[in-house]
Amino acid sequence: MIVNRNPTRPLIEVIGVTKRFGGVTALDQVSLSVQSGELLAICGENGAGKSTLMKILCGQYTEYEGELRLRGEPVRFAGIKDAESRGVSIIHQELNLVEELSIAANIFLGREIVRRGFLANREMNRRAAEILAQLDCRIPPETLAGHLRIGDQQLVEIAKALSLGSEVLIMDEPTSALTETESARLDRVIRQLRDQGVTILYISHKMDEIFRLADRILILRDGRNVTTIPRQDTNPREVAHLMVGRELNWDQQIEPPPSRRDGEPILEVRHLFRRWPQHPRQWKLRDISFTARAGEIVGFAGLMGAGRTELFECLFGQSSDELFGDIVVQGKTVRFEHPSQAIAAGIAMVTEDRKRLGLFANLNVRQNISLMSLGRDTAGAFLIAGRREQRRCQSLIDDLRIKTASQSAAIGSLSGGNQQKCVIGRSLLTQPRILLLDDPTRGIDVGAKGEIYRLIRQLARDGLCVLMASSELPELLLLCDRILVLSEGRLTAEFTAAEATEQAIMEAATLAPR
Amino acid sequence: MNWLKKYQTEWVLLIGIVLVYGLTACFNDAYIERFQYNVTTLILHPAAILGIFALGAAVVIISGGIDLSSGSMIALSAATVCLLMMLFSHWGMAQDGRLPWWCVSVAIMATLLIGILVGTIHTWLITVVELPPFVATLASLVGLRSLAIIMNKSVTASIGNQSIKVNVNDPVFFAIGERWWIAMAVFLVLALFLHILLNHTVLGRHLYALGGNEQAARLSGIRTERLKWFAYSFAAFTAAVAGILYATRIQQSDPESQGRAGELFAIAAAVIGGCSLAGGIGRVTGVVLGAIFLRTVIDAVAKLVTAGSDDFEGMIVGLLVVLAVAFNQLTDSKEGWQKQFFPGWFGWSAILSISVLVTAVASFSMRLSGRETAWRDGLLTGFLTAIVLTVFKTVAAIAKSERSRVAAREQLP
Repeated sequence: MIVNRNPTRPLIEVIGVTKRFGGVTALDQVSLSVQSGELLAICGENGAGKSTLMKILCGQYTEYEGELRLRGEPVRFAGIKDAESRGVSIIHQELNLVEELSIAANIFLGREIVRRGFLANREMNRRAAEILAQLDCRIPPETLAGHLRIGDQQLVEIAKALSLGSEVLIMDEPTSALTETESARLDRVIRQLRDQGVTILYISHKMDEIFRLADRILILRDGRNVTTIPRQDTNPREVAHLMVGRELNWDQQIEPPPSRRDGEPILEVRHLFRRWPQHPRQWKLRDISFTARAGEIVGFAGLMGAGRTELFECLFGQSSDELFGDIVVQGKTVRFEHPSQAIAAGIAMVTEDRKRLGLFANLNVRQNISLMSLGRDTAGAFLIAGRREQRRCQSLIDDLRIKTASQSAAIGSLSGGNQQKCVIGRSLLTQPRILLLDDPTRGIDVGAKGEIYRLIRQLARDGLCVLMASSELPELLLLCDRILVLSEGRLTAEFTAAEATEQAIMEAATLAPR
Repeated sequence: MNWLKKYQTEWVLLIGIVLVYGLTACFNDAYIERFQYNVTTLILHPAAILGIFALGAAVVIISGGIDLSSGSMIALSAATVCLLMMLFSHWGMAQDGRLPWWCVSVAIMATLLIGILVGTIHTWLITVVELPPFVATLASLVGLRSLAIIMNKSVTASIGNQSIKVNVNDPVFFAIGERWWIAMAVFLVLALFLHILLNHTVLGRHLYALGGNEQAARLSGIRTERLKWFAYSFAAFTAAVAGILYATRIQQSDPESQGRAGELFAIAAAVIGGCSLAGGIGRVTGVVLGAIFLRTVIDAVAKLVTAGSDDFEGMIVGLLVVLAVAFNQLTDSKEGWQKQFFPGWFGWSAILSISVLVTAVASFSMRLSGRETAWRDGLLTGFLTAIVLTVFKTVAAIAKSERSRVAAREQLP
């Protein structure tokens, strides 16, 4: 049965909202309307615009085109505080509690109850306890927020929103860090809130949750509305299909992948486990096994937090967590403790976050490129041979067609795509046998993506074993010989290039592994 | 042109040194009459010793850390070298009141080794115990000076009268302290060594990479702990060298005053010379000129303020550091000189605070130099400052609104 208590007047409406970041359009004419007391689930792939939409709704982004209506009145929030005061609150994916303060102090942060110039702690504690009791949570309000488990911290955030008298509650992937029991309790709380008439916008890509809770499901793709469907008129398969259904743009530009299953196996991972200390899920990676061959491109698909980056970190000696299982590189079992050992063994990695983990803003283009291969450009044991370094960089700049004013230009003056080529080139100069690419086309414009694809294909043809993680399915389907799908730290499916479809991958990625 | 722009900091400092010296010469005849004495003994000699440990501070700053311990390391190294020399004499090594060369060498080598030991402990605290560099070296800042005092007291007590100060009467020691160019030569050799190291070796390139982006450096396979060991050991080593030179200058170890606030002077020289405290940026040439510039300004003030000039050092260093960093940031930032320095109500309170500070500085300094009307003139100076800053604030605000009006007009079709 559709829970539709007041069908005549939507509580909150979004009409034709567009949001741009520089040249990138994150939201394009998105509209939605939610009835009072309804639970609308919002789903979409990574980068579909879910979070941007939520940030506009909760007043975090104040500049956008289009209109927001609350109870039929046009509104434009001046900030999060303004939105809260009108009854719209958000529970973020990352919780925003001050860990050193008590639960009550967190709930009343910024609007503390004051009597004669002093904090009225007893009063705040009493009221906090009342709200927590409503949420079926019996923790004393004097407890420090930092001592709570994640699930309880989330309840405190919800209590805070309720104490503000919120009618609209936005929840951004609330169960991503919860155990099963905590999720079940959250389910109960959400149902109860909905019965009390609180309107909930619920972002998630976990199908089972969506189908348990939602009245209607809104699907976003590439910043646009795809459709809004009542829950009982659809099924998880259809939703997964709607989330990804789009045309491939690269077919004309790049020749189809050659079948490369005959190379020698060069990397083998057997039953790899990676511990996740102090987290209910316990393992960042659980029982991962696969083999990769020279000349092969192996893709890793999965949603945010599925464990793609965590896996690459293990292979590159960048993890300080406890590991179990075997990693075999070129026939030798290895356990790297520092990236330099991985590099010496012939592995190179291009990290996901170029700005934070890849670039040196204080070094110029040449220094950025040559950094990892300086040892081979030294004259004697110590001095860098400047000429040799320059020559090597120049040939790399020519090979990869990096557009730069000169070798001594600031790295920041290059476009995103050319910066990425520099980072890839830096790794290539170490002459690796295995190349790990973590989301190599993130934040790169369309033209440069094509060039990076060609480069990756070329490297594989030259006999490199390429492992590539990406949040963009079309690019994995385009490039990879095989695609492995991760979900919550486990391998849930493996497809050959011929078998793989976006829909099948998305189903495996949203599957809750048993 | 490119060359001029790249070495902008150095050019500004060079011009600054000449200007400050020239201006002081106009007011003070001694600057010309005793030119050689002034330049060598009063400026270059202390500047060289300051420069030596400023080089060490600069390496740490370039690698993205901070070393607060150099002042105390100086006291410890001066104490070590003096105690060793004294002990050698006491054990009867000296002949005709002079120690054989190997005794002096052993004393110096042992002292330098202690510098490296201190640097190793810093690195251990920072990379293994994972203390922030600020805390790890702050502990040495307070601890090492105290250790030097205890060392001096206990050793002197065991062989005679207990005393905090330890005197050394050795001709070799005296000869080193007397000649300004020895310190200068050590400084220049170290500077040249460091220049080559930073610009032409893998180690140097990795230091810049570490300071620019530590995580990316590790991911590039750089052993960041080893680099940090080099940086902190080099810093403590240079401080040890400076400590020995300070000891030869007065032929004494005086841990209560030697190298006091040295760490701040070293960091100041590095920052004035263009090092960024965020790490990854800085050049040896800048640090060398920064140290000389700092010393020139301190000496100029000493010449102009005849009474109690030492007391002004702190104020000068503080002011220069603020100006140098602000200048660097302004030339680098997008807003540049269009920045609003005194925005809104906070601007007013800043103007008030600065004026009060200027009043205090002006009246107390004038009083100290014996001016009769010091209080009145000080108040006047503060009042003038307030007026000037108010005018500045108003003009900047008007200019800003004008610019945005023009920009709005240009956007209309």
